[in-house]
Amino acid sequence: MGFCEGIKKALKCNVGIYDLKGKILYGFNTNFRYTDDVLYSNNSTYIRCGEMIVSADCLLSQDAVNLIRMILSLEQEKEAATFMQPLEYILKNDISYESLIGRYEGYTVLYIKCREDVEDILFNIYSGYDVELVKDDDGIYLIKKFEDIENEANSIINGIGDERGINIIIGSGRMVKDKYTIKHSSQDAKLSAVFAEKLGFKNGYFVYDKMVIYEVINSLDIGELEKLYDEIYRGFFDVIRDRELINTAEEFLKRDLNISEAARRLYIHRNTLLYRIEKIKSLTGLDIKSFEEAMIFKFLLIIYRLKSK
Amino acid sequence: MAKVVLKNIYKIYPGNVVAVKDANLDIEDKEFVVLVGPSGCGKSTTLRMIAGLEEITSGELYIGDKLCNDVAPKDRDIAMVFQNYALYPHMTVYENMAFGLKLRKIPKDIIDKKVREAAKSLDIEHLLDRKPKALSGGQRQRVALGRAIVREPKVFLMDEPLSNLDAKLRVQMRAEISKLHKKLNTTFIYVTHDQTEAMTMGTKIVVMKDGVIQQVDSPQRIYEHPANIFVAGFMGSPQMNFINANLTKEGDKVFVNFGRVKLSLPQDKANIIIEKGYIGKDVVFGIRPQHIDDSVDAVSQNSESVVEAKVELIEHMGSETYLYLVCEGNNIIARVAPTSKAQTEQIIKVAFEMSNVHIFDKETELSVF
Repeated sequence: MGFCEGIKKALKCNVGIYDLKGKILYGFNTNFRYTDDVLYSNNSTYIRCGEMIVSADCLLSQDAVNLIRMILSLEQEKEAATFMQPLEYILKNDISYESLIGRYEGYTVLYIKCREDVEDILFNIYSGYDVELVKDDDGIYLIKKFEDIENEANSIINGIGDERGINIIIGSGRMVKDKYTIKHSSQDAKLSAVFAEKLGFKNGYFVYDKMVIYEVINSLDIGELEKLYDEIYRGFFDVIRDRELINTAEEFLKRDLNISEAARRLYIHRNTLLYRIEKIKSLTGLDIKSFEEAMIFKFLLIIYRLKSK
Repeated sequence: MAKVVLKNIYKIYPGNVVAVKDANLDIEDKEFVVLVGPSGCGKSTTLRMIAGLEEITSGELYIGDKLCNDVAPKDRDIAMVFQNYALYPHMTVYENMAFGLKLRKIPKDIIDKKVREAAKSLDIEHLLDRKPKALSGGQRQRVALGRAIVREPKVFLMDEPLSNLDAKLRVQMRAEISKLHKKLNTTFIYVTHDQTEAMTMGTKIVVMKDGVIQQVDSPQRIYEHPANIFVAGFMGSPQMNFINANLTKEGDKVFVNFGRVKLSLPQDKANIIIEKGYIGKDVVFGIRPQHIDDSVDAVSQNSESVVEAKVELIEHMGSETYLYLVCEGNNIIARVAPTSKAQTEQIIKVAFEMSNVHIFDKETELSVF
């Protein structure tokens, strides 16, 4: 507890905090004496503070005793807040990094964003289970140990979507582990959801790890990036304007550059697909059959979407 | 009444991207309508507009005679079934099915009755106490259907509900959904990209392409009388053969010509060509693989419509055989009897069943007949 260090600095003496049976809880192992109020003995001061005894190896004035009692009570309130309302407190306050490590290990945060309040439905879905819901101004945090997070997120999207007839965006952080705390998971979950909405998505599940590329691009100077279109990939807008070409490109990327599967889904012959891919190449210079160039094409698409938003 | 009517519906996304263009559709009460088309054709967007999950840019949507453009989705009395089941993993099958009713504060005894009835109709009574992870894909999809059934909606909307199942299970579930439609006697609107699903399940099929409805008709009529080249090619597997041809008239007879081949059209079809003024014009000649026959009987009985073709590849399917042929530079597929004696690289004679051929306008791609 930083409290004991603080007192040592201020009063130039060692301070330890014991329970009523003399077990050291925090600070320095000074002597223990039981007291119901304040006890001075052998150049030490023993102060009763609720269910604890504060022991200082110096003689303290009444003002110093009162000050210690006040500071300790404030510390206790803060501690209590973290224990009584753990997540709400953690998510809405600036909690120290160290105090969160190890807590909520194995939990993951989902951030649920939609235009209606769905807390009642979520409460009904998870009533009686080890799940916490925390609401803020933009949505609801759902904290749980998930077995199949993607499947569960889709169940919420489609289940509530069907019940209420609304679109739902769910952002997901990573699972709490080691130095990646519940605070990180919640921040990443919210960021993913907010970012997905910013990109124009209305519905769906967005994982922070997969949104990183969008975040990186968004943090760059879009004006500078626009030069890419003007100077290098001038024909990109011709692809965007041609519904057939852009539909083909997006389906091809969606099918992991699998020509047969994309052709089947588009109901075109694979040669037609290859012809269109060649056309995209002639307009942009990018051969999206190659992973690297497909990645650049995707990059341009993201910039275009961000720009148009 | 659960009639659904779309009048001049448009969906235009920012950037003037037209996803659905002037959709007009009359879905009668208790019909099983399938929206089918390739990726990006606007079928899912149309379904989501009916569900209220997408705003309608312009046009009118009626559900049961009520204009629903501005009706909140939850008040449209519809239920949606998705491809990824949407089951809550920590709830049992019973709890999953009962959940929607529980939210509506329906009394427990009524919920129990409805859940058990739906489970019985789906043959999942024995699974009610299980959790989703203990179910197969097909069973999960049945539970998802059950969840929709207990709500007793006016209209069921299904967005590619069988896509996540393997081929064998898909065939089985296809039949079960059709049976369910008959049992429930309610309007079903079903989206798929799979033409076989569309043909086998729908009482009415809506074929879409590039946001435009291409044809609305019964499966049989769509197959036999496709409105254009796209529909003709999309419906049927292997797809219809298309050959660029020219039409000529000699006396009363009309001939389809490509390369050195000259095929005589039956008189009723010839009359249509003459009436519509297609003599001398370039057209697209279409014939389905099953209307090309290499049997001795067919070749001898149809001397006016026999052509020579080189066999490039043979696929034995068991109950039938596919011959991949080249005729006058055109690649064509024939679906023939498994007893066919054709050999690869051989030049064979095949008869075209001219009463079942199609002619399409080369420019508009619309069907002439």
